[in-house]
Amino acid sequence: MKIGIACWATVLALWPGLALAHGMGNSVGYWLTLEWMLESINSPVVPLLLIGFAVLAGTSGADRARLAAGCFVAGLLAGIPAAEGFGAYGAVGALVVGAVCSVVSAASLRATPKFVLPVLSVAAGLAATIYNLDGHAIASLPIAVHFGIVLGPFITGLALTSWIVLILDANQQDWVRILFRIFSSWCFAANVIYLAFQIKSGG
Amino acid sequence: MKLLAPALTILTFIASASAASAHIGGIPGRFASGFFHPILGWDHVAAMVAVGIWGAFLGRPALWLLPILFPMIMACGAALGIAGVPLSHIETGIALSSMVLGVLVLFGVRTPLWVACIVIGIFAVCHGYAHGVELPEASNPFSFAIGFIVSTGLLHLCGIGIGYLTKYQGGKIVVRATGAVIALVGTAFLVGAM
Repeated sequence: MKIGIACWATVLALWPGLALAHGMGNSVGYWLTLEWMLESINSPVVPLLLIGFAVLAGTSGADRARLAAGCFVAGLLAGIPAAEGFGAYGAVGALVVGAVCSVVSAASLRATPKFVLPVLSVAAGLAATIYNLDGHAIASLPIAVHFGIVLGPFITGLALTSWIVLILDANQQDWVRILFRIFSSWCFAANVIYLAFQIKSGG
Repeated sequence: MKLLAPALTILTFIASASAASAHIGGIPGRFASGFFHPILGWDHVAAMVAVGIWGAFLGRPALWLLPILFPMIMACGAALGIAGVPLSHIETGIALSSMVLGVLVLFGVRTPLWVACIVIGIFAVCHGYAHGVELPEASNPFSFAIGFIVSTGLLHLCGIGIGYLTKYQGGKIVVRATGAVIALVGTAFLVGAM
């Protein structure tokens, strides 16, 4: 039952992204929030970051995943005022944080100091919002846009994290955990290669 | 029932892919060309499979550590290639990787874990660099990169599967013979590269 809820939450968060994002250019109110929720996860940078964060948080167990989720949302909110100053480094910052999250989960959290997960969760939230706001100051965008930019990554990140927690709860064999570590190494590789493209293209 | 929800999710994603694909605009071979790039090059196939087999030979933790380490270092090598950092003798390194790993499998050489990691790391840089140099010419470099990362991982899994044959009677002969074939392929490429 819980797995079903997590699955469908993931689908709802990711599925309509491309289709709806193109159809609501002049949206207002709730639709503007929804449009930016979808827009905020519509480039490779943020999904790569969210997958890296979700695997890190999800493989560290349910209790620590809750702590990570709290830190993540705090980072997302803190990113709104921070975006004005750090907007130029949005993509590079998000990809670096995504790569670090992936390498830590690939290296296994058991050997990692406890402060690393909360710190990386805050950093992931910050990086996602800074990338999505792209240097815009708080006052320059409607509040509905800010809601969307925070809610999109939050729901997606939370859905992916809870999905991983549930998979690991249901399958406690070693090889499942190893598969997630191998998957993390692929995420790291994707982050590093995309980072190389971003740096080469001056982004 | 446990399998129903994930199965439905996967089906939904497959069904929803048509809308996303509509934005590609008919450009063929992005993810697919990256995916098939290592699979269609014998030098890459031989080395990737050999990494998996050698990992299976060495047992835990090398069994899973080598397939984790390889794509990570390969990506760093690819980044060097994308950035245009000059590295020489890459083709020789790729050919050597098949030859050396094939010989290690053939003779069932058991090295300490750190030595295995260094050997794999050096060869991963060569393979990654070769991919990285070719990446910017692809129509969508990012999809190309994801494709070759996934296929590299799957080739490792094939190697691990072959390596598991050592648990069965006669399986060791098959695995060592595979190592010999890989070493021969590597030698042929090395002669060609030189």
